[in-house]
Amino acid sequence: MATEHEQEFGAVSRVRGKVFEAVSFGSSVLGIVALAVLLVFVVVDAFGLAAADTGWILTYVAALVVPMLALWCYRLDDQWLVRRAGAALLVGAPAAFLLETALAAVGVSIPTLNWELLYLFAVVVPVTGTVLVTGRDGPVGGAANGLFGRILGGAVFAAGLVVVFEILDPQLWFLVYSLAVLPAVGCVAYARQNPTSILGRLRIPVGVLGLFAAVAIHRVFLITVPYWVFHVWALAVPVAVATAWLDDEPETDAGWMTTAGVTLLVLVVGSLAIGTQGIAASYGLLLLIGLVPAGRYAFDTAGTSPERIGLLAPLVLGIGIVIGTIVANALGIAGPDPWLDSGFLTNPPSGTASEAGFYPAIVGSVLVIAVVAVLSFAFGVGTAIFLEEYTADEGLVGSLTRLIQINIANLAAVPSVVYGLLGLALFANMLGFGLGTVVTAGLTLSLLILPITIISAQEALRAVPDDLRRGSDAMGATRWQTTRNVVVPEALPGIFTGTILALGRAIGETAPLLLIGAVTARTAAPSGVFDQVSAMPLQLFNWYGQPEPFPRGVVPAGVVTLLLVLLVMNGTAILLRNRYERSDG
Amino acid sequence: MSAEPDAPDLTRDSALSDLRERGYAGFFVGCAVLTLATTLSIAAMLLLRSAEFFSEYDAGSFLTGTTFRASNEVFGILPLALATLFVTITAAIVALPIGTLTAIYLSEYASGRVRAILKPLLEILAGVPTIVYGIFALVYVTPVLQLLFPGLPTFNLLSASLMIGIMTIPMVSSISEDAMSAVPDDLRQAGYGLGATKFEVSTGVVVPASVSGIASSYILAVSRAIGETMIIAVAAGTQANMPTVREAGGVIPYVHPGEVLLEPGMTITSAMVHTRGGELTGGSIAYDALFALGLTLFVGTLVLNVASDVVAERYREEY
Amino acid sequence: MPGGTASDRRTVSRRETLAAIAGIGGVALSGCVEFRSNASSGSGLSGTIDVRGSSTVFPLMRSMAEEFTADHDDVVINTTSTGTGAGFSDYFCAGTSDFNNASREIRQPEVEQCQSNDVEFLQLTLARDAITVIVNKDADFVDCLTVDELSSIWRTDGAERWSEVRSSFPDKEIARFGAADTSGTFDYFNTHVVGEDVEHTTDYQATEQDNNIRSGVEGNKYAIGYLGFSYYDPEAVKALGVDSGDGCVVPSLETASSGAYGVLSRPLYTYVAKSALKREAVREFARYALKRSTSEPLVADEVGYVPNSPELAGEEFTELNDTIWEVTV
Repeated sequence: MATEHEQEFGAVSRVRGKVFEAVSFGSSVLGIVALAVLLVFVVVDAFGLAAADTGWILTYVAALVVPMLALWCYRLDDQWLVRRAGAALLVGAPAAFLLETALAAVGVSIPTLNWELLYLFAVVVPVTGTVLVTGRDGPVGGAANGLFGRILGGAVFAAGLVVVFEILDPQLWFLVYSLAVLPAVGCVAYARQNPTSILGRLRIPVGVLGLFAAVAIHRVFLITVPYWVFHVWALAVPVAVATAWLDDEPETDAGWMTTAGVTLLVLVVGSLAIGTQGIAASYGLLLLIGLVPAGRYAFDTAGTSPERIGLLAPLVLGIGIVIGTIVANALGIAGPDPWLDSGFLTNPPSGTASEAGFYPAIVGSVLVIAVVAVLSFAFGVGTAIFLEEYTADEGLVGSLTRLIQINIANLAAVPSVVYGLLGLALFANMLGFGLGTVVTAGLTLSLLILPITIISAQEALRAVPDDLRRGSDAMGATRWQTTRNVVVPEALPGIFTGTILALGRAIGETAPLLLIGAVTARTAAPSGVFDQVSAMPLQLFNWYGQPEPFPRGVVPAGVVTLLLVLLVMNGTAILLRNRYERSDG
Repeated sequence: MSAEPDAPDLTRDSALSDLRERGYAGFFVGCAVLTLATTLSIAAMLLLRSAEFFSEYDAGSFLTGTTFRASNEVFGILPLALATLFVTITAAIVALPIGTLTAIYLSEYASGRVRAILKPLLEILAGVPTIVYGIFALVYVTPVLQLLFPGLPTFNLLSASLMIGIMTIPMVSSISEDAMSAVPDDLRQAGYGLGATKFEVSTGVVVPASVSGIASSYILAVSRAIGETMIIAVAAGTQANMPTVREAGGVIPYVHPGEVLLEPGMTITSAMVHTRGGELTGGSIAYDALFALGLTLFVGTLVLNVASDVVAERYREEY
Repeated sequence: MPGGTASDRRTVSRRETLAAIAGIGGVALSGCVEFRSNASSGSGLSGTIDVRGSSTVFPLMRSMAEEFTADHDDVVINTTSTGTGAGFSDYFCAGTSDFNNASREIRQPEVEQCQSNDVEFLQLTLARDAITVIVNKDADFVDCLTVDELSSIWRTDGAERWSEVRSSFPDKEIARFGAADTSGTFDYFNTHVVGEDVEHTTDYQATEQDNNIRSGVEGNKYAIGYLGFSYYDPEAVKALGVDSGDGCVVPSLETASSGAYGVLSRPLYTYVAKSALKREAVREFARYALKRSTSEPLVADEVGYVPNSPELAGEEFTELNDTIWEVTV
């Protein structure tokens, strides 16, 4: 009797437990799956993938994806993964086709998604992702990942430079560099050699003086040489010097000079060569500067085998695209009709969907975020240092600290639209920073993310072991010296990570910008901090209510652009964190 | 070698050093005080402009008015408040159970590897800009819902509420999971020792022990849903509809949820956005009305936040 | 650090390299410097123009700005849809914007606000917004409806059958095709025809595309729909006359642009600040906008409004030039 009861008890509860586990697992992935499905639809719309003929995706999978994955898997120990990936790619296509046929037979059709897209997003993308992530453990895949990572990072950096020099006159940067940056760096370098010299302490005055001189000269004189010359002098030369400096291999003068010289030569000659192809030589130079890290990596890796095979990845990619295009053309298969193309990224907004662009909004967002980054970093870290390093448990300071802590928690819960009201009434109208200017937007969004910045900076500071502080104190350092020389350098990666993640929140904010009167449609990018600004989310808000093809064409293209920018920012934050966590361990 | 240049600092003139020390301390205190100033200036702005508003507009008809039509300078907050209430409830119906189950799964069932993958993925849900959710709701979710509810207008509160629910899942799950992970293993072992199954330990021991954390995560998620702006502003249109108030048994007034959720609507936040950008609105009273709406919102979320703190304090189990 | 002397030598050498590069650069540049004032006397317009105001006029003004800046690279035009009223009160009459688009005439309090801030302005008509009510070609029972009858058809809980609209109409159910509530057409129809205090019905076929409204009405004898005038095709459907109180008026480019078409047609304005007309870019853009206001491809086909008649545009142009003369001399 007793045994029977126990069995029944066990059987029932096991089912209940299993069901509960399954339900709670389902719950954990439900939101993620919903978001993933929506992202698939928005990507399909942004790139017009549904317009591609049957066979287009299969052609490129065969010509491009399979050879790439094969390269990644070359010499990979994990043969189980290789076999699985191959089987999935092979079986996936007919399976997706059968699924669609079966669903159609029942009378169900998924709008927009045909079987090829189903195959692409349900099989090819996950398999590729898995192979890329797992493949980096192998020698070849690791090298290919390293190379691609640097190319991607460099390209983002180069795009950033292009945007910066669209706003900033290259001549001004030339003057600032020559008159302020170089002398200040010179002072520091000299002081390194002669620690007793007063020159080291003069670095800030020298720099500020140079800055004023540069701005003054810029206002009066015009230097009539091509921008390219400025870029070579004020960008290519420092990049070449930095490349050589960071390269710890050559310990001799000759080696140093060679590295710097070769880098400079490649940059100069390469950009001039690009200049003959119809693209401005300056853009060529910025592009090549972006490729410097990848070049160095390739140079370092070329000597080791089998890693050097990974360097073929860009070649495989290029050949794959060429073959895919040739085959598609030969078979008469039309490709997708993307909304997100170079025109979208470089045009101003328009009422005509095919001409509508995102450029002023992208630059506007970048400018606002730059202002927010500076402000929220300074004030966020300042507050966090006060709360963690300068506070006391009791007395006036203690009560102040507690008050501020509670206050920060409450500020974090204030709706963003209320911050918009603050920006409208305080910054735009009372303090006169102007309705919808970069600086008003920057100040408003800085206050909005300040609580998040403070809380993450506090966490980073708290993670610094107390031993380090005590050690510094014991050496007789003052509180400021301990903070500056010991605590902040140790916490900096964490602070940066937190700040970048908070900036990701700021770049997506729309309501505060609407309330402070930011511009709906600019015909050109803003050119200064007191210029009125448009921003990516604001542009989307203007477009959402317009008739087709805006909702299923232009708006998805904008959404994908915004998400890509966010991805780059968050990717940087995660990279930063991983890098420093690894170097700690 | 790099520490050498700093060494002379110790022997330098103490007056200069002292001044610098004080200067930096002052800067840090200033930064910290800035956060207080932010709160104060928000409160001051809202109160000042609202006072201006209520000197021109009767506070009673603001709080009990059933029509919100900024173009006619009629600002009754009731339809907005009702829409906000229903949106929040719908979002909570989505987010609270899913978030709690997610937290239980992550804290009790998931292996370290699964947790390492799931947690950052869940954080993405909260990191997607809200305007993107709004566009998702309008362009992709509403057409699907229209299959379930024929006649559902292009702009409706339902799809917006569902998106807010999905967005707030990680808020519930991460705070609840922290609370559940903080439950000492002794309690679980004791449960197993009594012959309880994993299911019984999870729901009968861990959840009750972390109830204060779960409750405060609920309140935070609700307060986030109340303050959410762009999802509604994009996906729910620009009409402030007042549903018919019925009476259950002739006594208790109620509103049919369908009359709110399956219709276009404006919450307090989206009314602020649309009043600011609307075609027919304008003038000083509409400007001041924004601040009165903002004040309502600010007070509401502040009360919830304080309530969350109180709940967390009151029911916290000390281990 | 191992090899201290080598490292020292290396640094000296670096500094020498830098100095040499700086010297060469300095010498190379010395010949290419001139005064900025000499160089910046180039021709062509430049500057930033700030346009605020009506969301109805916004698409027209943005398209004009787009065309104008395509010819004038150095001019930047910010167009923001803030709503007519907020555009006047928060920007234009506060002296912070150059143009304010308006879907109605400026009101007295706004004029007073402008005056108190010394903002003088000039009103320019850019186009007309006209909505055409269409029925099936075979619907011979109806040729004209009053605004009240239209309102009874399109309001919530309004008429379900034609006979409820007017007793002489057949006892058939009304099939309604209208603009989706996303569109400006809906917004305008809702406010000016249905009425500000009653809601537009939700019991109708809503579409973002005016072509679908037309084909819907084409397929049903007892259908009614409304769309922007430029999407009305006399071959396919019949336009109803509308009686706004002064008799029946059938929509046409003439009746729409003269204002005879009643509440279903309204002028769209932009207001320009006289002080802003002192700037050449603003002057040229104002002139350009008036010139383009008669263009059918731009105003009617691209944006969907009724273009200005050449006479009206001519009058406005003269007035603008007079004002410019008055401001600049």
